[in-house]
Amino acid sequence: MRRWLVLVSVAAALAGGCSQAQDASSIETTARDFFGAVSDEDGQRACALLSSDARESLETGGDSCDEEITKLRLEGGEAGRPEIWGEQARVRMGSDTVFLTRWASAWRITAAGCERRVGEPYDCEVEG
Amino acid sequence: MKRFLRDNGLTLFFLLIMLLALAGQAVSGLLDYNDRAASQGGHPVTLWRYVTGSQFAVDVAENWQSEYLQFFLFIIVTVWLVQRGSPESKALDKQGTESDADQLIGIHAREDSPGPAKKEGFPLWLYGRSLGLTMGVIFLLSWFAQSVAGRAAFNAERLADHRDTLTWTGYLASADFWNRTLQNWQSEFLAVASMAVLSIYLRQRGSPESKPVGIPHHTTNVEG
Repeated sequence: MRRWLVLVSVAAALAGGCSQAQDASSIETTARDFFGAVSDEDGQRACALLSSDARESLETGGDSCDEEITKLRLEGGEAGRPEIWGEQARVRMGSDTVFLTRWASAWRITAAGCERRVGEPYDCEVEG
Repeated sequence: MKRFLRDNGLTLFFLLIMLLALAGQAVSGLLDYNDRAASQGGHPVTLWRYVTGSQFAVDVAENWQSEYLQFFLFIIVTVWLVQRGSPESKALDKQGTESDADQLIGIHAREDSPGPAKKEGFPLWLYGRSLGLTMGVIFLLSWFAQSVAGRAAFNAERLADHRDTLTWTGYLASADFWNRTLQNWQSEFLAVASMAVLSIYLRQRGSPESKPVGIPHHTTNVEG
């Protein structure tokens, strides 16, 4: 009975650890692809990685997300270690901070180009 | 089997309705969670993902800790505090841990008394407080689980709002932790106070939680 409990605990811990590692990898890839697309001025590819609310926030006054996203100061940089809580995550990309949400089996960016403000939500270039 | 069900009916009934309520909480909680996720532009989660997540865990743990705290306090406080006329109280002249003869321990133990009741020293001390200690330990574990799951759920909300996350100690000092804790505590304390007072004057025929219907209001420590 005790051996069975230990096996189940180890299996659960490994499964949780694997899942966390997969999420971290997926988050880093999404953030890197996003900044890569912006850098390549490929607005369509960058916007495809945004959440629907973030995309819509750029589509004001008849402007399209594809055009607007490349006009923003989004530089990115080296990926930090993602912080994941449930369906939400945050990762630092150089001096930028990116927020993401889980979307089925993938991750979508809810805010990018964010700067920290003490005691307040981050100030973001893109925000849904 | 029939005899087993009769002999353990009280425990089995409450375990069964607890499981049914927990299942209902899981389904209604999932619908509520996904409704809020949809309003924030999020993707819905599956039932399995929801019941293994922090939101469900904190909702369960915050209720468990308060229930076990209620019983822990009720067990401990009723050693010392009495309520005249209440079947929930011991006799007014029995305040305290009572004599060895009253408690049937040591040389006063009966042949069919539990083993530790016939011993002395630490085993007797521990067994003589095992009910309160167990309730207290389960309370502390549930409260700790609430703090861990609560922090995870709270940090997910903070990230959704594009805010910084909290450390565990930071969460212990947060309004969210204490709001969840105290809103449960106050209802448990009210329920105990209500039971202690209402059972002085009101009766439930046949219930051991009530005095027999014809027992006067001023009679203490008599259960039906």
